[in-house]
Amino acid sequence: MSDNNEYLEMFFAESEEYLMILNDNILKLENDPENMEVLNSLFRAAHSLKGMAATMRFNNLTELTHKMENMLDQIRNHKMKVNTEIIDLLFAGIDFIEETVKQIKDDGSDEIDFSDYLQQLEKKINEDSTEEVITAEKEEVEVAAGGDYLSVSEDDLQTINENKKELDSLFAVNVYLDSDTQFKQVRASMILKAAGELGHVFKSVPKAAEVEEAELEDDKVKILMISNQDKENIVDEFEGITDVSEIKIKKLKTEVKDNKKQDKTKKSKKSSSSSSSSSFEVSSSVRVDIGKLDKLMNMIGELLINKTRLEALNIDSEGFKDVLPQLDRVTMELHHTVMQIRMEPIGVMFNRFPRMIRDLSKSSEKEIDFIMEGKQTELDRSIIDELGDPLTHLLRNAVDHGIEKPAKRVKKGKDKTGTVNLRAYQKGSEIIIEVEDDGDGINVDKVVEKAIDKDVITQKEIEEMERDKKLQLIFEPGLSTNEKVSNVSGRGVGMDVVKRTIESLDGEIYIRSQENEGTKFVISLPLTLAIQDALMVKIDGEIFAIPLSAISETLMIQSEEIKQVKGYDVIVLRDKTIPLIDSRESLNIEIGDDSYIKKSEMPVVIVKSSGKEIGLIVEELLYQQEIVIKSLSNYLDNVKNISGATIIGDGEVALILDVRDIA
Amino acid sequence: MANPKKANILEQDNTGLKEQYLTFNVGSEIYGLKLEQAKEIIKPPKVTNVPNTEEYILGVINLRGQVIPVINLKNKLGLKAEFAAEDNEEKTKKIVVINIKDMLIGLYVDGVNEVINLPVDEIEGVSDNRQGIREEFIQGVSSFEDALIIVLDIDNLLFSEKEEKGA
Repeated sequence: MSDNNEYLEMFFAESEEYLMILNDNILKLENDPENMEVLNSLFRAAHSLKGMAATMRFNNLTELTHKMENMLDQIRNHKMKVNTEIIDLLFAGIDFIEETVKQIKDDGSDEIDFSDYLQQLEKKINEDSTEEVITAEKEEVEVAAGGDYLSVSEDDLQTINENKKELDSLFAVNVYLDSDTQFKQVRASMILKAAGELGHVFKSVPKAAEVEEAELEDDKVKILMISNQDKENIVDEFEGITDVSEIKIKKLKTEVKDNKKQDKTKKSKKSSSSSSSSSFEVSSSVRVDIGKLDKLMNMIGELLINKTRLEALNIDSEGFKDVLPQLDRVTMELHHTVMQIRMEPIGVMFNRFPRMIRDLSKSSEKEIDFIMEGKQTELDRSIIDELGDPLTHLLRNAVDHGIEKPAKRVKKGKDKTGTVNLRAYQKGSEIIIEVEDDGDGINVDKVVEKAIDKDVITQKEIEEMERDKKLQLIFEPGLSTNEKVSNVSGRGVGMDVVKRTIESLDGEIYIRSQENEGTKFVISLPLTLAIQDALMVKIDGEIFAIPLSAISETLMIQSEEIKQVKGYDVIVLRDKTIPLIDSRESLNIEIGDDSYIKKSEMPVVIVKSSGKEIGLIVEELLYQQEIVIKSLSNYLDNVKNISGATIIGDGEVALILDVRDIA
Repeated sequence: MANPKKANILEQDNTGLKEQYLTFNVGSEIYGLKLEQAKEIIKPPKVTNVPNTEEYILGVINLRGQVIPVINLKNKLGLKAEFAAEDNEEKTKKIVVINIKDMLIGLYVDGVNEVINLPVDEIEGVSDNRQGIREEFIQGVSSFEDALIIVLDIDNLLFSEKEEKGA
């Protein structure tokens, strides 16, 4: 049983992959129902899943995947036509598989009740294959149709096979006319014409050329034809002709005893399909357990800390001074390499969204064009994990509240199909992810109203607030109502949780929105997670770190340079008016009479906060350093203005300032 | 006082099932907590004060590369702060690092005493809560060699107020 655990881990990892392939390809199939490559990928994925389930003795799951495999097999052998019903059935099957795998994760059992679904599948599979079964019984290996039908020689078959297209089948059709039909020849001619429109008439009695003259033997027209239509369609067509009393039809195999030529064509077909279907195939890569990567990262962090402490020792020795830069270089390279390993293209996570949007737009009766860009943008693995929920939430919002129903859109003069964009790209040392829709936009007044209502803000504060800041109110906890409990993420996801998650990744999120035009959420994330460049400063006798990425510049200012605007202390820097605050204010440290502002000369760190700049007056500027970000214990959650900690040269803890909300 | 004694975790003698408790001083009383919760006892390194936190959070320290919070027990228990009479007293102060809910948390105490065996069923409810400590923080009291040991419920001590605030 303990052996099983290893295999179980593999099972989970691989089923996730296969499920992704299945989802992806069914979406493709929906838009391109005859794509053999897609069908083969689907079949192989289902087949592999079945194999794994069977090996792990998940019998229920095995049955499910087996049936799906059957259905996919039928489709790719053209015994079943792909239509909306089939697509929905396939999606339902995937959902069941997903549910079952989750169940296995939770409690080891695969007891999910999908018996109804299996019945549906069974029915569908049998429905379309019954005729096949019947004809198969009657068929003989050599394709003589036998009986009254026209016979087909081997040579005929060869010609037929050379000329027919993939989806064509060979039919022997006898069309009988009423015995008291007037103008039988005319009818016969019409029959042959109809056959010609359905496909290609290979042989007929009477021959097309002779139909006007020839006597109709027994009032019937015998045809051998190639067509890509179903039996039913063919029958329907002929039945539509006046005076047709009966139609006998048989689908024939086209395999020939002498298989040499066939095999060649078959083989070349097979090899081309297997080489082109490397959509899922193996790159030369290794699967690495994330825990091991995390450990590696941690150790490198420790290495860095100790290297820094070593540097701080300042030993006066030639050898020492020589080794340090080497050590520095090697550690940095190691760091970079491991960071690379941990990077993953964000597309892996993006891939779940097309399916989600499709389902959502169907259930909300909206038409939506979903465009993803920048799937190859790479991010640290752990960041990608965390982004799943927030992005899901934002996308759902875009569909639920953003995009309007087609009729409404048309009324507004918009295209009836709405567009939702998901973009990822790198900008400098940041990764930007955008979720944009061209829908309703956010009604700022409503947001403001709700905010005042919930006591999040006062009327007075609103009057002094810029529009953009008002929009940001949407992130306040307590404001995110209007959400019906979604059946997917019933985890109390609200806008405030989205913001918190993004911030826990050291990122920021902004909204741009225009009523009736649309809404755009912009998420920016720092490129590296755990190691950052920082400026060390002294505040109130303690050392703090300010991430360089948040700093615009640092400078010393004289007290005379400080001006007063609307009661606030500011300085004017190259045309910009920048407010100043004593950094101790943001730390709720008692200032008393001793405000930094009163000094004759003071060091100021200009930081970027919520899109604005603000000058933090500190006690002393120290030095620049690369710091390893350590998270503050879970016990201290959400300490205002502190985003984490780092360990500095003497082994002490220095806190990292979070300047985002200081403005 | 003496070094902590090492003994079997559960010792059964004729007085019934006993468990091991670590005892320590805070203020004028002796407190105890289950030994298995205590991971280590260290001399306090420099504690970095963390602004914008509750008063009972003394700050954070570096424990072999991990940043862990330190709780000022005296403050948390709501006891009145006493004057540190002599410098010597500083020498006895310790941080007891406990492992709870997958977190490491340090408790700042005035001094650490022995590890003792307390009979589990003799930890009684408190009738006379002289110190005015919140009831849920205390598991009970027990006597040991003429001393009264106030056995703490560490779970509640650290987490009950957080829950009240609604995490």
